[in-house]
Amino acid sequence: MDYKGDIFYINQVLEGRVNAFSYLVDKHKDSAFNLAFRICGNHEEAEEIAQDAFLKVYKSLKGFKMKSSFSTWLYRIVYNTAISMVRTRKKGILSLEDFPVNIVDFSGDNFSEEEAEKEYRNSLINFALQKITEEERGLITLYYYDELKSEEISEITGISKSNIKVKLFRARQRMITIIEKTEKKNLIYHD
Amino acid sequence: MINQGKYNDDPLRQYISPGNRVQAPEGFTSKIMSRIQVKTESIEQRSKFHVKSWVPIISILVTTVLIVTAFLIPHSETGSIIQKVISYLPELNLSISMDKINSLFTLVLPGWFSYILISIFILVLLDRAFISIFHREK
Repeated sequence: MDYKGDIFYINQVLEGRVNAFSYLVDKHKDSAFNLAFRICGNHEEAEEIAQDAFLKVYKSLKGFKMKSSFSTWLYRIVYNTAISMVRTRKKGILSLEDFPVNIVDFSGDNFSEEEAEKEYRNSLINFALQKITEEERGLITLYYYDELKSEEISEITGISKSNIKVKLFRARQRMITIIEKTEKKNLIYHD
Repeated sequence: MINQGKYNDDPLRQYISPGNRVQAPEGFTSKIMSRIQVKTESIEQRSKFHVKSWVPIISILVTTVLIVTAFLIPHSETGSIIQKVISYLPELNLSISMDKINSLFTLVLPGWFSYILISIFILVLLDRAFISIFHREK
């Protein structure tokens, strides 16, 4: 699909062409969904969060001042919606024992070794993400998956730049510890 | 541009990369667009409803003003007000003759007419009340 700038489609929507909004959704849906999914940890809720965020964006498009980019604005809405949803839900925190050791069947024919490895790493990351706070999950996602700079992350989350660096450092350390522990436990299981 | 040094220094980069992003489910865009369509239609309907509801409101207001005026204007001064109105009429150069206009002001309505007017007014109020109760927007 040939995308023009976000501002072009925003102006189209503001002029009454509602369908122009679908271009904005198409362009940003994966980033929005990924952020929501990484924060809340399940597909159904992530879809609900991302959809609600897009609807909020549509409703308040008139008030969009264009001081920040459209994606930053959208991310901010997704981030806040996801954080508040997780805080109201507040499931019990997972323990290391909760990680399914046989989540990927390495012996099966369905996966190549490379695919199985990738799948395993994804599951491990999802598990480690659920072990840190929802705020840290947001920061990790924006930094690693979206490769945003701390200025942009600060604009999205409302956390100061220096604080983001500190929080990212802590979250990274915690995740690495969790991943290492889980991998050790997995090795013992498979041996 | 991916900074290779950043990847080597950071062990978490072995696990997370932009390529591992989860994609939105199929039909995501169409779901949002249909939700927007429904919202837009309901807003349009609501605004139409508001426009429709203005008509009886204005008629009620006019009727009320007329009834209140009828009660407030002293009986003795009614004649002088009508006389003033009639005195302005020839200046308007109306096609209807002044005799016919004068006959309108001398018309005497039966006593029960005021009761009918008040009954119509009460029925209109009841009608509005029933509409707002039984035709709420879903």
